[in-house]
Amino acid sequence: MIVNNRYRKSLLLACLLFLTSITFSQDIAFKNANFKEDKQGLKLAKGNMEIADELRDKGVEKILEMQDANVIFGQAIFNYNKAQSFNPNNAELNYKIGSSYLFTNQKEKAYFYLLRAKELTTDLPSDFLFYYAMALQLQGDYLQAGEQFEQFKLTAKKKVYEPYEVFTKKYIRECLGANEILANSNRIWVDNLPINTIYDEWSPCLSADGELLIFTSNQPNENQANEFGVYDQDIYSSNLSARKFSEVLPISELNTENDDVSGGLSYDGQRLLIFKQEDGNSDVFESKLNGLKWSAASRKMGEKLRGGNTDGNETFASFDPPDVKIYYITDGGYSGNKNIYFSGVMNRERNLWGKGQSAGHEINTKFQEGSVYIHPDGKTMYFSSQGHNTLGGYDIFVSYVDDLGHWGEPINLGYPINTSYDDLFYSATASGKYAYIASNRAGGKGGLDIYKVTYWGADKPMSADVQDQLIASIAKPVSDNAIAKPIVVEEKSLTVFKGKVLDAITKKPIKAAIEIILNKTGKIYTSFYSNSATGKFLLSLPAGANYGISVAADGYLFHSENFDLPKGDGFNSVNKDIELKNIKVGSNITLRNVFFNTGKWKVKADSYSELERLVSLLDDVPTLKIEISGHTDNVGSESFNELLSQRRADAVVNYLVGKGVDKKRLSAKGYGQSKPVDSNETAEGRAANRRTEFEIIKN
Amino acid sequence: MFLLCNNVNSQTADTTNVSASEQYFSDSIALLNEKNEHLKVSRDAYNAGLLLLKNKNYIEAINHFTNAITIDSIFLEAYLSRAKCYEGPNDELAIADYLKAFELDSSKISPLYSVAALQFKSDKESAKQTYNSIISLNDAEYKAFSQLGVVAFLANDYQEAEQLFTKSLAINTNAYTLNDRGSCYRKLEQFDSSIKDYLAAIALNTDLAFVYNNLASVYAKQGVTEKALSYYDLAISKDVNYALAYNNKASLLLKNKEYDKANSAIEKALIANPGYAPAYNNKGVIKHKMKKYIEAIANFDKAIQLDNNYAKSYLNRGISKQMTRDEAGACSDWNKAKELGIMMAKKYLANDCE
Repeated sequence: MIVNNRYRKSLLLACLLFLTSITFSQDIAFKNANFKEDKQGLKLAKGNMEIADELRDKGVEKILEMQDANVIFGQAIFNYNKAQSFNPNNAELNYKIGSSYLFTNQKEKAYFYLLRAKELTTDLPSDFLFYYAMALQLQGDYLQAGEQFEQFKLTAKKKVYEPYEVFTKKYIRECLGANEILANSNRIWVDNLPINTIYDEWSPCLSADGELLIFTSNQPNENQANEFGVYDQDIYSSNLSARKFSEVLPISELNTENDDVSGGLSYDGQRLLIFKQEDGNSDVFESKLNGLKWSAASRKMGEKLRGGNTDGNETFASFDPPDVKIYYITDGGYSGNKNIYFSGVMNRERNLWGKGQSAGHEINTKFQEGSVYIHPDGKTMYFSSQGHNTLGGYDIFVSYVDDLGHWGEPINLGYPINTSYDDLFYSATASGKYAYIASNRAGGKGGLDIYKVTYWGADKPMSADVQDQLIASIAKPVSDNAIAKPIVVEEKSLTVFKGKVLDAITKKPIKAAIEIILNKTGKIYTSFYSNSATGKFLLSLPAGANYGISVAADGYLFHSENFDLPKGDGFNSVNKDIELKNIKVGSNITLRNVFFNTGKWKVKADSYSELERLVSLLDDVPTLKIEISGHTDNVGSESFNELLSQRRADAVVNYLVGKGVDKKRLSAKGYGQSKPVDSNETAEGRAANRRTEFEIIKN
Repeated sequence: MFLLCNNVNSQTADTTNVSASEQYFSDSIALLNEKNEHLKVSRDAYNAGLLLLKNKNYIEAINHFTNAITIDSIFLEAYLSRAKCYEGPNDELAIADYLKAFELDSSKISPLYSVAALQFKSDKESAKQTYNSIISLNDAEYKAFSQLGVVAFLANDYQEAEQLFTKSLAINTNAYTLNDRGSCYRKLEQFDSSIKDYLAAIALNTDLAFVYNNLASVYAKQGVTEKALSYYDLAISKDVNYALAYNNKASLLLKNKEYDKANSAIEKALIANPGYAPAYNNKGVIKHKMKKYIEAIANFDKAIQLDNNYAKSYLNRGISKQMTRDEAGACSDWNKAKELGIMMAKKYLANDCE
């Protein structure tokens, strides 16, 4: 009996041990014993893991050296995933995939794999806690994350902990400070743009009026994807339509087979800073919009290795409003990691720029700074950094410059602009109401996405109603009619002045030289050209001044405007088309809107608008003398056409005289069919030939 | 009696011997009797009219009073009663009757007060003249001074109003005029004087809920929250259905961010007066502050339903709508608020609506 009982107890114990071993045997090692049926598959998987491990190790090395490594980790994951599809239940593999995702733009995937690893085994590498804590921080569980970082600090051996020490301490501080940043959440909407895809969309560059967005994406393009299925970065543009950016077009003049990345856009949208690699390092280049096409990019900030250019990488850059400095990201500075520098122009024509200067110790940290943008007001810098007090990863900060040119202490823009993920770039409208950022936060369409930030300003106060029966004999209560006033927040007082320069008669766009003068001092504030294809121009001006604007183009009457922008107006947008009057002797302008009935010479009523513009030109330039000429097609006899065209020219002259123009300034000539401008073989050609013109004979 | 007896006797006697004086006398008696008969008919008509007036059957009452007046054109009481019937549907006729009554007996000034009260509704200048004429008849007419003060107050001439109330109070100190003068001082932002008058009014008549309310509102303006709340509570204790006081109390609690208490007070205001638009507006504000934007909008909807031109509610609703990302709705509401005269809405439209 005793023997039987002992036997029963042993059997029970054996069963328990067996059951326990089943529970903890889910971690399936890459061993022959586990894959007897598919040794070939196992071999392949192990091979992929080896490749991936090598990449991962390189990536970790870069990270510990304060460098970006998302491409390398992406490649590591590519190979790991092959092994994962063979055996998804290996703890170490899950740990490696999870920890790799932490350094890509798909960070939100990290937590799943790290948690899986934890579930599969308790025997994980000693740096697992560090990565697991990072994943928890991404999840927004700052308390747990902080505890795990502390646990890592306590339990990891010195040799393991040391490389991670500076990061661990930083991340602990981030976890402790997160609640304070989150408590200051603002009245801000952050919306994912419709132009985003499952690929990366990033580096948004916005014109000051908010109507042109240029950005970078690695979505599928004309080139071949690499062995990892990744396309090269290309530059795209989108114009605002019905308050949305929807249609996206590649800027094919700038895109190549290699990575082409947008850096910064001038406030008028006419110049674009990009960066590209040449001979092993990146420099900042500039392209100009000529008409509708972007020019070939030329190196900015001096020649290669001169001026602001180093043997390191100069990448994302920003103009400043006076257009004398370029702010940019470089790892060619003293620290060796990415910081913000600026370079000032010394001679624009010869492209001579000063050596790059650090933006200052308040701005640059021992961690990475990722992007920089100078607001049109010239006093505000937005930049992204992994240093300072972030919620995690890169956060976006704002800093203000003092009168001595020193950038002040950065302020975290807070949630929801910043999250525990990477939040970078910042490009805003002149009003500051809208801005565009890029982020790889969870819930996006994939990778980095561009988000629109809408600032609603200070809380709008609600107006409660208090009523009293002030007069005893009057039953109807009297309301206190006061409306609560909002808290006055210092607003950026800027005016966006934009429009088109056009020919007064033909309405064709003109490339004109525009100067803005500060009337108080008489000094030129800025000068630029309107776009030759569209005539468009755009600039922003600080309020509190009176400005003169002069517009000049060859062969046109000089034009000037004046406007006063008092302080306190807040943001204004002034949209103005400027019409220039053609006064060049020999200029021949077709009056496309002067009409006659067939075979007749009486000027039709719908011609009057065009002719009024001509009268206006003649009034404005009293010295102008013109010849009105009539032209026909070749239908009918030559003599009739000559007579008809003469009578039509006379009719126009009579109209102008009737409107008060001195007859001595006018002459009329009928050229009949003798001066065609197109073929008379086609209906369209004949229509073009039937015209009235005026030529400036004298001014 | 004696005359009657004689008359009877004379009838049985020889009638051919009645003297001229006797005839005259009997004729006068007959006339008197006829007159009395008519007066009786007139008074009967008047009494019937009074009954109809009591039952609010004004049209029929007017007919009876008119009959009475037709019979007796100097029937003062009939004019007065008929005037009461005319008030509202036909103030002009009412005024005419009151004036007639005054004409009949200019020792009684009350008809002039009635005239002035009616004029006050649509023609303040005429009312003013009437009150001034009352004063010219008797410069001790404190009510006339007081009413002139009200006219000035409503014309936003608070200095003038204060002087007139002071004159009235010099003749007769009463709680109502003290309240009114206190309100003048409040408008003139002389809050200490305002408080003094309201307290004096309360001392004279402790039952006037509106005075407690007015006093509370002055304390609220001064930021003396505890006193303000206690006086609102006192107002409510005098009139448990005083929606104004509940509403004002809620507004003060709202200002102090005590949203739950404010909500509780506003609920009571709405129980007291379910059609009180300002309470719905304030409830909406409370909900907004509690970040319950949908509920806030529903309350503003109700306020606007009750008062289609409630500009503040349009402004507020726009703000709540913006918080729910209904930008088009917000802009539409601010546009309406702007049309109704709120300049702040213009700024919101310029900044947030393109």
